[in-house]
Amino acid sequence: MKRILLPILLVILVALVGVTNYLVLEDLTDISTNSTPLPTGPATGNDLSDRPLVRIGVVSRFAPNVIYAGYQPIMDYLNHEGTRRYELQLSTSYQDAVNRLRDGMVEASFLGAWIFGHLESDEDLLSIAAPLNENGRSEFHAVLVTREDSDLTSTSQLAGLKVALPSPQSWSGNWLQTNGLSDVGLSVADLDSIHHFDHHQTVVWQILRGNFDAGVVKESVAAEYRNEGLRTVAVSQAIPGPPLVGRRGVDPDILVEISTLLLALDPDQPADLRVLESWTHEFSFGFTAVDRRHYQDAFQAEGVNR
Amino acid sequence: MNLSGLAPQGLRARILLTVGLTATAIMMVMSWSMLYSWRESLVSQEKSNARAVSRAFSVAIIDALIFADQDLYQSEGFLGNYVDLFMAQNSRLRAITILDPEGSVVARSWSRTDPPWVTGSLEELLHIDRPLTTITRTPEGPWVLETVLPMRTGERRWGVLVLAVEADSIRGQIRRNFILLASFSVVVTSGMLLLLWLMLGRLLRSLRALVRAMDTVDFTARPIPALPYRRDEIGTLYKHFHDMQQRVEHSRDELMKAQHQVWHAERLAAIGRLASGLAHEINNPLNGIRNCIYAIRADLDNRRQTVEYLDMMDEGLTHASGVIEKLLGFARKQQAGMGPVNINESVEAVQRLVAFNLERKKITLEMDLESGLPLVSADRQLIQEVIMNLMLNAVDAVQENGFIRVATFSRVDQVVLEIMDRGHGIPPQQIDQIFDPFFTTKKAGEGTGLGLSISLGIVQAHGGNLVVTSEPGVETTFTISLPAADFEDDRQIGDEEKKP
Repeated sequence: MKRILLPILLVILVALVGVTNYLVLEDLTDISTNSTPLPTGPATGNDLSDRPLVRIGVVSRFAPNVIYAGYQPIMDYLNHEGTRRYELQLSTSYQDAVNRLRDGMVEASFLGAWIFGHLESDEDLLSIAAPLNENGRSEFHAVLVTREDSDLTSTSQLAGLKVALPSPQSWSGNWLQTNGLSDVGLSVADLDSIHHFDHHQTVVWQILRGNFDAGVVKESVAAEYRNEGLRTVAVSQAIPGPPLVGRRGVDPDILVEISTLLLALDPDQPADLRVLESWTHEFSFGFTAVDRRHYQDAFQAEGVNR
Repeated sequence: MNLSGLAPQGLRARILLTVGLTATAIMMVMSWSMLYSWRESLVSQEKSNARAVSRAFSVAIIDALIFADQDLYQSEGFLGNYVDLFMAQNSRLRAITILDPEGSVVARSWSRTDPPWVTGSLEELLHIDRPLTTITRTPEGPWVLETVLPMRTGERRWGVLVLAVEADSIRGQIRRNFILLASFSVVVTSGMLLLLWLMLGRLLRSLRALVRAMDTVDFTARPIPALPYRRDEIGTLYKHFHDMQQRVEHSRDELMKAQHQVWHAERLAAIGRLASGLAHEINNPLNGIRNCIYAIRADLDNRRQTVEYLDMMDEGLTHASGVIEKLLGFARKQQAGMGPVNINESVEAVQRLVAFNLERKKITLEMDLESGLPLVSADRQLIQEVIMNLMLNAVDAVQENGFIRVATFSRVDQVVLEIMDRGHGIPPQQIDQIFDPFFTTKKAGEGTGLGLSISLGIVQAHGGNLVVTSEPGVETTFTISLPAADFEDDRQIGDEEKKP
């Protein structure tokens, strides 16, 4: 009897091992992971559909997704704190942004300092606010940049070199021609060539790829690429920060709400600081009220003209 | 059900079964742990990859949706192209679906039937606020890894990107690794058991050699043969066994010495039992001699009488001397040794010694000794001591004018000696005790109680047996059986010597 039972027991053990391994294999290959409840949140953020729409334009100094990454948080803040539904409206050029504002396609627009300072007298456009820098002043600079391994150390060495610039309707796209070169005794004719690109980031990429010897961009953009092999050669004089501009025909309450909410942000207040820190570097120090004359005066005082 | 009886009896089988089961269990648990851990890592990596692909793809999708939102381009054409190109470049992609914030399908691949996703309902997808990756089996059968990515900038929602990657290859990898690890486990376990089998075989061969040595050990061999030298534990076992052999041999020698002393003492005791008969046998010639001496003194001048009496005295002294010689011959402690013994001769030698005791009680002794009896291999002195013991017991047991019968015969390979007396017999309640040491029915000082015990020991030491049957008041028979020895020539010689 034992002689029969022992092999049977061994066969049962082997079968048990086989069945156990089969079940483990089945369990191992069952990789489904959809048993947890789906994380949920509001489908479209706060339900703003019943609020009146306010469209805010932006000059096309960056690519669309970069513009949204930089400006949508401001819209979110206005939507949270305000009583209206604020949405961004992109433009195809700096001039297109001005046109959309004048034509009533947007109620306000983030314009460039250069183009705002050189607009012909237009009493319908009202400057609402401009961003502050880390020094608490509303001013910014254009900077001459080159690759880290370049021999270029000053503006005076630009003779015979290829230079990339952003939009010709921006301060960065005009500084060299108006002040930067003349300050060192050079003129545009001394350069090999100048090429304007739509966006500041495009200028940086062209320099980093070696297609151009140098270029000019906003200092905030240059700061983003400091660790990517970009080096600053020269800094322009300060000009007022890029303004948020409203139109006189717009419901004044809208402009007041925008102005009030933006100017209310105080970096010294922890709650406001948390909001500002989540924004792009250009807007992370708050806003200040500005006057259109500041821009006109700034460019005229510096001898900056079209 | 008691399974203990199913355990294999062999040491090797038991060790192999125990080690095999333990190793198998350990290897299985280890393999499973590794596989589960590896699976988690693989699935996690696949999910991470899928999320990365979704995020990368969503950049272009968001750009296109922004353009569409700004009425800069017609996004449908862009998105359709993006989806087709992306599907074509990634063979593992099974489906791409792009939903707008309201849940309408903006673009999707053409490789799927409805519903275009498996993660949840449309309402649930629109409420997802962070990337979600799930693996599930589609109703059609194949497994997919589906990533649901809410596309948003700040709080601006552009829609939801659902990207499904085939997941059967993940299961295939898991299955392959399982088979690989299982095969490895089987090979390792089998190899280990094979190695163990061989090592145990070597060990057991050594043990079997030791067992064979123990079975065939010859305690009489001088010197005791040593087992082969080994440097391992088996060698130690061999050495200890050899030492034990020597100790046993020493103890056996001591025991034999003690046993011989006991036997000798018992022989002396038997002489004491013979003494009364022998004294009578010696006293008679001594009395005759004393009478002769009186007669000679009374008539010193009678020379013829003196010569006649001196002859009578010489005859008496010769008789007494013969008696003493026989007694000394029995009592003398001779060198013990095995050799061919003719039982008939031993019986006759003893008979001559106890003849005086028989005569005193006028006992009739019937001798029925088989002629041509096979010889036995025995110590002649010890065998005679046994016969002496039994015959004296018989003499003691019968009354005056009693009857004793001594018979020898051969039976198969045995030589049998029967000593029967018609004495008082042995009570049934005592018959099982009579071979016990110090058991006696005699009065104090008349017996040691060791005679039968020693006789039984001697017979058994010669490979024989001693049994008793008794019918109280009628007769008692002691039967000695000894194995016949193959001394063909000696027996013939013995028989020839017996012939007159």
